[in-house]
Amino acid sequence: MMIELKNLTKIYELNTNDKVIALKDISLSINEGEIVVLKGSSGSGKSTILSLIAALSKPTSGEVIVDAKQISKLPDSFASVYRRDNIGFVFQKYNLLTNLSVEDNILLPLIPLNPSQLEVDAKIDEVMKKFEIIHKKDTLVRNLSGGEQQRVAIARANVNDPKIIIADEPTANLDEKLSLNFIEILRELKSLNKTIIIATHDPLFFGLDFIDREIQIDNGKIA
Amino acid sequence: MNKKSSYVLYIFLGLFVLFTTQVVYLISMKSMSDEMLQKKITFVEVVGLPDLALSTEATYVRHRSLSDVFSIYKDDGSLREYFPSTFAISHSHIYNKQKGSE
Amino acid sequence: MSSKINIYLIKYAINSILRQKYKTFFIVTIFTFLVFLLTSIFFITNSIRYELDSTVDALPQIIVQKIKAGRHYDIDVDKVDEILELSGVSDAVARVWGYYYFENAGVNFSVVGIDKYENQYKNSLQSIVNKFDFEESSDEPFMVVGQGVKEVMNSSYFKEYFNFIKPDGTLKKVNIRGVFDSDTQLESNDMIVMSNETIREIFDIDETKATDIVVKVANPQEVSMVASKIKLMLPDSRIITTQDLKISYQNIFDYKSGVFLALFIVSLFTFFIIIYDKSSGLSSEEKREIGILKAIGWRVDDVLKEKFYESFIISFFSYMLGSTLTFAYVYIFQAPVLREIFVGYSQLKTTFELPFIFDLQTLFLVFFISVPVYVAATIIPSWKVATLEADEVIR
Repeated sequence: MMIELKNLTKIYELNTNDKVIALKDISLSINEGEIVVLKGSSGSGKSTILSLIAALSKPTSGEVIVDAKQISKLPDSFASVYRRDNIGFVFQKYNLLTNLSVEDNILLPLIPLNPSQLEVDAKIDEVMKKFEIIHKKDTLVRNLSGGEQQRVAIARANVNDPKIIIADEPTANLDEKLSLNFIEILRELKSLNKTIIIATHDPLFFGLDFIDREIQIDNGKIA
Repeated sequence: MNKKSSYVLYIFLGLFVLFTTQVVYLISMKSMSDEMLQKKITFVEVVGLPDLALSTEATYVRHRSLSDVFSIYKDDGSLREYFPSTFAISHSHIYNKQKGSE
Repeated sequence: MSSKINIYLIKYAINSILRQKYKTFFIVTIFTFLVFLLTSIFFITNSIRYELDSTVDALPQIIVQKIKAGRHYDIDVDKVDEILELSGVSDAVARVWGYYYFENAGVNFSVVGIDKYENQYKNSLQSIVNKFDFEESSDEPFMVVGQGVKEVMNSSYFKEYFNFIKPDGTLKKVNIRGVFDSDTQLESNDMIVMSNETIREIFDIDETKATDIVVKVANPQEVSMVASKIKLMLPDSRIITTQDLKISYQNIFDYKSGVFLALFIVSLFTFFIIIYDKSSGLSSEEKREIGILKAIGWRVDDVLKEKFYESFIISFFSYMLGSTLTFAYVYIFQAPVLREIFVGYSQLKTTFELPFIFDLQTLFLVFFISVPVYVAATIIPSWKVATLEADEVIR
């Protein structure tokens, strides 16, 4: 899955006096199976790039092309389907539904697909085992620790077996031990040939052996 | 999660069954039987007075349809009784119908 | 996939409802109460209307009243002959009836005079009167009374007969020969039927006068024509045809409906407040939830479907519950409290039963003004949020 960003510009609040230029004419390519780390301080535009790749927002100008398909101009319905089928997003704040149990949260991306009961059970169990959260499957998310919540977020991102995994500041709320844990998970995901894009300013990620590329983003431009 | 939704569905079903049972019961037990209807019709034939035996002390209400002209809330001498509804609603629909029937 | 119902979506909707226990309970309670109130009102009205409509055709075709100085006056009996001469008239009979106020009990009786021993009456009366024996009647005046009348008389120690007070102050004793069948209670409760002689004596109406004249027309199509002929012939009269009675019956709930209308409007108003509250926007929690669902791959369609299930389940459940409660309240418990509004107040109590009518129209009407409206009020704001860019919502 080739991801191509061509001359991407994103301006927030375009028609007001408070407009913020998040990205300025960015061009970038990512190959299938690569792990890419986007480095940069907060506000530099890393999260925006992730957003655009996941079709969570549309660029002000420029194109996002994933697997030879134009993502940036997809209508809402198609964008959702694209996300559903191809993207696993681990948000900075996890964005879990805290009143639901672990299992219910992980189930969420599968609901619109209306799969059979067997398929669902199999997929969820597999993913819960893999990320070591199965022992808490009936616990409500709000009763979990930070690290456990993150594992749920990762599990949810993986349940529909996406080709691209995106993580936005994944270790921002974790201590060192849990951060290292996360890095191990990444290593495993890489072995499954997933394309992984991480936005972070955590130095733990810099200089790791299995990271293919590190890209510095400053003020909306590639440094 | 499955259990809860099953409960809700069962409650729904139960409600539906209750509803249907009620209707069936009422139709069979509480509808006006033909016998009863016939008695009422016979009575009205014999006596010849309209309106039900409600509000018996207010004579202008008791036999409303035949009520005396000198009743309260009457707007026009030739109108039939229709009581205070015209405080809120225009009586022209009654007047027009009456004209139509003559 | 699109043809199969998405059970997961339904389960998610149910769970969503159960998660917000208090809010859901509150809405269901109010909704149910509103449906209950509305359908009760409609059902009671329908039942009473049904009573009226089923007997209206048994009433006289034409009733002729005399109007003098704007007031109802006794009509001359010799007008009967004049009326009989009109073509199309098959019969005309002078009738005497009126109200007798029994002061002791503060109760008003409706008294009607009929010609005794007429064959047509004998047979009919037999079927609707309990313990009546025409043959047994002696020369003493007698009457047949309604259930309510009998009870009032009993409680005033008049068990076998009753003493009417005539206009000149003297008493007239009339024997109670029978009681009308309780099935006719709604029509007969306050009625007293006696012979024409007796009633004329009690009300002091002489032989040449009558309360009104009842006219029978051979051909029902000609009723209005005959009515206008009579009106021409007797300019001081007021003619009431069966048609007029029907119109009067239709309007009968207009005034009662005044009270009813007030209740109805209050219910609707409360209901629309709820709707307005719902449709004016979602809480930030709900917005966030929709944003997250969009972000993980739910389409707008999926979100709306889920919201539809949620709102439909709540509103339909409330509707069913409200209707079920109404059926029990109106037809099994005979609608205490609400009934009084419709039946009105009288000293003489009737204990009639509201007959059951399965009115599909009312059920549909209440359904359509409640369920779809609530569903729309839920879906529209959800749609507004769901069509925003997911990014905006979850930031």
